[in-house]
Amino acid sequence: MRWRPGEARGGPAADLSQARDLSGCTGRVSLANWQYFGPRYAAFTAAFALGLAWVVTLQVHAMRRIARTARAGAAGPRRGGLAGALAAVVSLLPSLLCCSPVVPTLVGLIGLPAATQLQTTGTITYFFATKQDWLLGGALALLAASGLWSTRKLARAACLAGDGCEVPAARGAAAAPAGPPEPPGDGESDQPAHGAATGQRAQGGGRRAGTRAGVAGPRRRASRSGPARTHRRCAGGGPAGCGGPAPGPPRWPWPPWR
Amino acid sequence: MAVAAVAVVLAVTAGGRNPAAGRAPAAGGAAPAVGSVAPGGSFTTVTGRTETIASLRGHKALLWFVTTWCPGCQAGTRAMAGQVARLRAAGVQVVEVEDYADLGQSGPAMTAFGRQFAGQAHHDPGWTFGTASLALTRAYNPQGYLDVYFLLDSSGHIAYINAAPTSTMSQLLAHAGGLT
Repeated sequence: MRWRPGEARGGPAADLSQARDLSGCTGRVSLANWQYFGPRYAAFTAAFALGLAWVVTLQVHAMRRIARTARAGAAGPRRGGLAGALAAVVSLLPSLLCCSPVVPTLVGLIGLPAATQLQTTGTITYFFATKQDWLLGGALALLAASGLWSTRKLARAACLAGDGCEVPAARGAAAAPAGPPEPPGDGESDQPAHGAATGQRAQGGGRRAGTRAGVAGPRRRASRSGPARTHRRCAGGGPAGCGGPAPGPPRWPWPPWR
Repeated sequence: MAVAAVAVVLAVTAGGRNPAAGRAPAAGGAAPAVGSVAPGGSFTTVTGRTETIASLRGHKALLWFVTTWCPGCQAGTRAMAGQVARLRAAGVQVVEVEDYADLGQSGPAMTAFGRQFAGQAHHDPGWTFGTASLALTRAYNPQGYLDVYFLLDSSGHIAYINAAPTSTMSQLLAHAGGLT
């Protein structure tokens, strides 16, 4: 038997005294639903609220960093936010699809025979009624994964998108060893792109170019620690890389010996 | 997506108010309306007796359709356990019936359900547990809602329809008190 006795939870509120189809009799969005708000829902709500606050804080922080470095536009790493939104949707499914008129009404609209309609409604609502814990737990897990992913990305990346990267000039200069100057935006060459490592705003090509710039050539060792490593990650943004929407000549303090 | 889902709920619930007092008993896919004669049908009590809606005539009755796997129904039964004495004092017989075959899903038997969630009130003389026939389920709950009740007056008419006693107990008690 799939049913497990447990604490009763969830369910509709209703406030309709006269109805011919019963859609208004059940699942009403009402303050009366507080009657169902037991310890289990309270725990879930608290955990979900904390997780959501965490993810939103991370997203806001990320967007502010992007806004600081971007020349124009505001495309950012919203995948974490997307997962958080998905978690919020998943968390709504049990109460919406188990204990509201949504499923019976939609099934009724299909025009199935009466017995099939009852069976179909029962099957769908049963799934959400009995899998509530899994769905709510899954939503929490998704939210946690989203927060962890965002935290990791924020901690490791010096830039968050192709809109631009901010690399501290002092660190960048310290990390850049002396070497021959190279043409700006030479991301496709085999020579390292010093400009990306030392400029206040890294310039250059796309992910491939930036990566090669960071690890290739005589400065490979340097690129694996400190600011150069930061730069290597930085260069991984979008088509314009860390250089922003349009590659251009490097800014001061380029070249480093000047 | 979440906004769309909430919008669907609001649209559905807002569109459900259909005053239908005085109408004839429902047929086909429509549920009975307030003021109509309560549709006939039978149910089997947990003691094995077969009862009919007609046999309730002459008494005020609360006909309540549940599924035993429904969390809201379990909560409703707990809530009813605290109020069944008041309903009995008002002359209302509570008849809680499982939708036919639990809407095709596996749930506990009605006996176990009543014992677990009604507790001692399970033995209250004013409370009958049973299982609805397919015809009775179709007549009163054709769309398969999980937790719907009908208040019947002593003349066998439907006086009040609502759902989820956990949330609507005060309205239920008020209407039961004014029942003839």
